[in-house]
Amino acid sequence: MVTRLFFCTMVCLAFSGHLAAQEREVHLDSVVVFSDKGRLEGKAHTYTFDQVAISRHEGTNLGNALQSASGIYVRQYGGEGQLSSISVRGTSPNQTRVHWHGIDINSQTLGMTDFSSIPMFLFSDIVIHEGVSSALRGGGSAGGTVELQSRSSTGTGIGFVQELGSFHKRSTGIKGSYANKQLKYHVAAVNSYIKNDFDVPIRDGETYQQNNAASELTGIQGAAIFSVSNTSTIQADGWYNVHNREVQPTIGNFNNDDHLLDKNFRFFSSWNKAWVHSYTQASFAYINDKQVYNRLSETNLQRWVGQVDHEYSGWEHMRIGTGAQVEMGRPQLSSYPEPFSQWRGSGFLFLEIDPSERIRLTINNQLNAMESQKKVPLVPSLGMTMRIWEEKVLRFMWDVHVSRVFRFPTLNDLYWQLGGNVNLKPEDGLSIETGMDTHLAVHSDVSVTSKLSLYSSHITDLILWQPQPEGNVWSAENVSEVHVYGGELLLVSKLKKGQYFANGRVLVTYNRSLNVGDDASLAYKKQLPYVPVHKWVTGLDIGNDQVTFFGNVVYTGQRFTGAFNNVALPGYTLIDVGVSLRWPVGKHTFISTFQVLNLADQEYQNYELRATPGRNFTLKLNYQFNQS
Amino acid sequence: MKNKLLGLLTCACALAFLESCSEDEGMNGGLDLTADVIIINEGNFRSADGSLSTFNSSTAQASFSVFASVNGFPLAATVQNAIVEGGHIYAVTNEADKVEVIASSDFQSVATVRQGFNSPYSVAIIGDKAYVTNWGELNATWEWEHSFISILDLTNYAVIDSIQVSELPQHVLAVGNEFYVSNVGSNTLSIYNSTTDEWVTDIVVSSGPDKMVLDADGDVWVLCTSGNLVEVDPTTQTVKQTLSNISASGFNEKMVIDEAGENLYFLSAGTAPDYEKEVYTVDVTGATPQPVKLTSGKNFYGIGVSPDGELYVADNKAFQGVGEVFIYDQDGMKINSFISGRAPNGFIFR
Repeated sequence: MVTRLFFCTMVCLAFSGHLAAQEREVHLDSVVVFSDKGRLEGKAHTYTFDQVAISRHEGTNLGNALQSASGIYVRQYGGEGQLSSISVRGTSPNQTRVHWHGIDINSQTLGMTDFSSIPMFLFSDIVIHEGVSSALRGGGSAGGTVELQSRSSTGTGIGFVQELGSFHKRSTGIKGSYANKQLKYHVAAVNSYIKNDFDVPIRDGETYQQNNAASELTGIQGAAIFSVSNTSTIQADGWYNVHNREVQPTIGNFNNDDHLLDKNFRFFSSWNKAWVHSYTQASFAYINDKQVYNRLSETNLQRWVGQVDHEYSGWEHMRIGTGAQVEMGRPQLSSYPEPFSQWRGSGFLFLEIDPSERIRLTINNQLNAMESQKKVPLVPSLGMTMRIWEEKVLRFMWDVHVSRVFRFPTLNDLYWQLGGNVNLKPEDGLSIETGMDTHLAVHSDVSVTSKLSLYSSHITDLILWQPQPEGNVWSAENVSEVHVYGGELLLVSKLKKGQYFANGRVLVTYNRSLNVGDDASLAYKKQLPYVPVHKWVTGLDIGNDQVTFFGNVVYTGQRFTGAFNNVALPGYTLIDVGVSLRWPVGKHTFISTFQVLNLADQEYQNYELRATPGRNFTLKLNYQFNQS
Repeated sequence: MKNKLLGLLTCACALAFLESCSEDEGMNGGLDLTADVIIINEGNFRSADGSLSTFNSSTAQASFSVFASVNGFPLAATVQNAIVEGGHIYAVTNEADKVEVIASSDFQSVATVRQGFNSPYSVAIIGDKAYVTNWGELNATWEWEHSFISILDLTNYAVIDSIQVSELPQHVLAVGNEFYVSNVGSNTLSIYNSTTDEWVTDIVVSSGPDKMVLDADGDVWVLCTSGNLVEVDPTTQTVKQTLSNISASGFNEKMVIDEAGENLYFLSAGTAPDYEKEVYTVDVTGATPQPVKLTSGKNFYGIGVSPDGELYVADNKAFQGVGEVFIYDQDGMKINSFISGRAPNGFIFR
C-alpha cells in the first residue's frame, strides 16, 4: 500500500502541470526513417536508451537496465548477472531479434539472447523497436527487435568509470577515442563483478546469505572507421565478452555449485559508399558463441554472415531499399548428431512512399530461406503514418502497421538429440498494430508528449517441446496457437526554467498473451507463463546542470508460473532513487552518482524461487576528458 | 486544451492502475486446510517448485500451495516423499536437501532440518527418531556413492547420527521396532534395529527392490524394478513368495495398500504402442495373488487409495505446467478429476 501511494505520488508529480523538460531516458519514435548509418529499419514503436540513460546503467547489464526503465518484462533467474531473457509485448524470448550492425546475434541454438551478458558500458545507444515490422529480414520479430549500437568515436577523448556497490559489486570501465579527418577509432572495456551474497529470507525471521551466485562480466569493444574518400568509408568493429558465473540455485538450496561460462566474439566489417542519391553497404560478420556448463558440457557455434544493402532516395515522393544476406552457421554440440553446416539466406525490398504531405506509406517484403526448410515464405509488412495535426503548439500523428509473423525453428528444435524434429514448420501468423502520438508544446521549455500503441497478433504453429508416447522422450512440435494483444501508453513531461529542469515520465503496459490452441485444454485462453498483464514505469528527474535528483518506480504485475494459471507470483513495486553531482573543469568532467535501489526493501521474486536482493546501494565515480 | 488533454491522460492512467490493483486477488480462493486429501506435488527438479495441495472429497474443491500460503514462504524444493505420523507431515525433499516438518492440522511449519542430508529420498518414523535414506552424491561416471541413512532426533529436530551403506538405499519402512531399507542398487533388503540403530541382517529378494508396504498380516510386500513383487515375512525374515513378470515401472516405483491392508495398487511402465502407464491391483489375501489391470494413462506418476477405497491417480502432464488427479472407483471407473501442483507423485489421506 505504501509503495502504491508512493507510485501515485510520483505519477501526480510527473504530470502536475508544473513539470516538464528534456526527455532524458526513454523516448518514442514512430516514424520510418533511414538511419544515420544509411541502414534501413522499418521502425514501429521504439524505446531508446540514449547516452544519458546508458550512463545511469553503465555499471550493469542490459537485462537489469531494461527491467528498471522499460515496459519489457525481463525474466531474471536471481540477482544481477544471472540468466535473463525478455518478453516483449507478451511474446516468448525467442520471438525478439537482437541486432548488432543489423546482424541478428540471437543464439541459433536457443533462438534467444541472455541479456545479462550484454554490458551497457560498451554501447552508445540501445533501441528497442517493438512490433513485427521492426525487422527488415529474417523473421522472428513477433515481439520486436533490440538494436545495439556500439560506441564510435565522436572526437578525441578518454573516460573512466568506477562503481562500487552492495554485495561486493564493483565495475570498472575505461574508454578512449581518437578522430582525425581520415580515421576515427574507439575502444571501450569494462569488468563488472558482483558476489550477490545478499540476505535471503527463508522462514519467519530467519535469513541466510545467497550462495553460488557470483557473476563476472568482462567486455571489450573496439571500432574504427577509415575514410577512403569523401563518399566512402571502411568500418570494422569487434566485441568480445566473457561472462563467468555461478548459477544461482533456488531458495534454500545450499548444495548446488553449478557454473556457467560464456564467451562471445563478434566481428563486423563493412564498406560504405554514398552516391548522389543513394547509399550502398557491403558487410561481413563473424560470430562465435561458446558456452561451457559445469566445465564439462560445451556448446560452440560459429557463424559467417555476408550482406549487401542498397537504398535510393532520388525521387521526390518515394525511397526504395533492397538487401540480401547469406549466412553459414556451424554448430558443435554433443547433443547434435555431428558437426554440420547450415545455410540461411534472406532478402528484402523496402518502399517508402509519400502520397501526400501528411501521409507516408511503407511496404516491406521479406524473403527468407533456411536449409532443410521446405518453404521460402514471403513475409510482407505494410505501414501508414498520417500527420493529422501539425501546428507549433500541438502535433498529432497516427500510424498503423499490418505484418505477417514468421519464425524459423531454432537449431535445437530441429536437431537436438533426442527430440529434435527436422519436420517442423515455421511459426506463422498475422499482426496489426496502431499508434497515436501527441506532442503539446506550450512553449519551448514546457511540453507534454504522449504515445499510445495498441496491437494484436495471432500466431499459429507455435513450436513447443511435447512429451511423446514413449514417455521419457520429448520432441519439438508445431502444436499451439497464441493470441497476443494489448497496449502501451507513454507520457513524458518536460519543464525547463533557467538552469533548472524537471522531467517526468510514465509508461503503462497492458499485455494479454492467451493460449488459444486447444479449447479442451485446461490452458485454453489462459495467460502464458511469466507474461505480466501490467507493468508500470514512472520516473522523475529534477535538478540543474550540477545536481540531479532522480527517482524511478516500477510496478510489475503478477505472473503465472504455469500454463493453467493456478499459481502466480505476486506483483511487486521497486523504488530506486539517486543523486548525481557534476563538476566540469575545463575539458575535464567529474560526475559522482549515488543510488539506493529497492528503497522500500521489497521482497519479491522475478522468477519463481530465485531470490532477489533487498535494499542496496551503489556509488559511481565518472571522469571524462573531452567526451560528450 | 492543455488541461483537457492532461485530464484525459490522467483518467487513462487511473483506470489502468485500478485494473492493476484488482489483478492481485489470490487465485486460491479460501484455503481448505482441513481437507481430507493432501497431494504431494514433486515439482520440477531444477525449479524446486514442489508443493502441497489439498482436495476436499466432499466439496470437490482443491487448494494449491497450502504450505506457502500458510507460512508465507515456499517449500522451495523437489518433494520426493511425505508421510504423516503423530500429527506431523514429514516431507523429504532434495534440491534443496531437507526434511520439512509440518503440522498436519494447519500446515504450519514446525521445523526445517537442513543439515545431515545428501539427496534424501524416503523417511520412516519409529518413536522419537526418523530414518531418512540418502542417495549420496553422483560421481564422474554418474553413479551414486557415499549413500547413507540419516537418523533424525524428533525431540530437537537435529540429525544425530548416520549409517553408511554400501548399496543405493531407496525406500525405508518401519516394521515394529525395526526399519527395512530397500537397496535398489542390489537385490537385498537391509533390516536395522531402531533401538541400537545397527544393522541386523539382509534378506535376498529380487533385483532392484524399491517400494514397500505392510499388509494386514504384517508381511512386507516389495515391488522390485526388475518386475517382481516379493512377500517377506518379518517374523522369519524370509521370502514367502515372489510374483514374477510383474509390469513394474522400472524406476522409482509407486505402490500403496488400502486401509484394510488387503489390496495393493501399483503403477507399471508404459508399453508399445501407446506407452500408457497401467494401474494394477493385487488382492494379497488370496492363495495365489495375481495383478489385475484397472486403468491406464500416459503420464501417471503417483497413486493413492482413500479410506473409502477410491483410487487416486496422479498425472504429471510430463512435468509441463501443473498436474491433474483422476479419481476411480474400485472397478477402475473414473468418477472425478481435479488439478494439482506440478508433478503430483503421491497422496496422504486423513
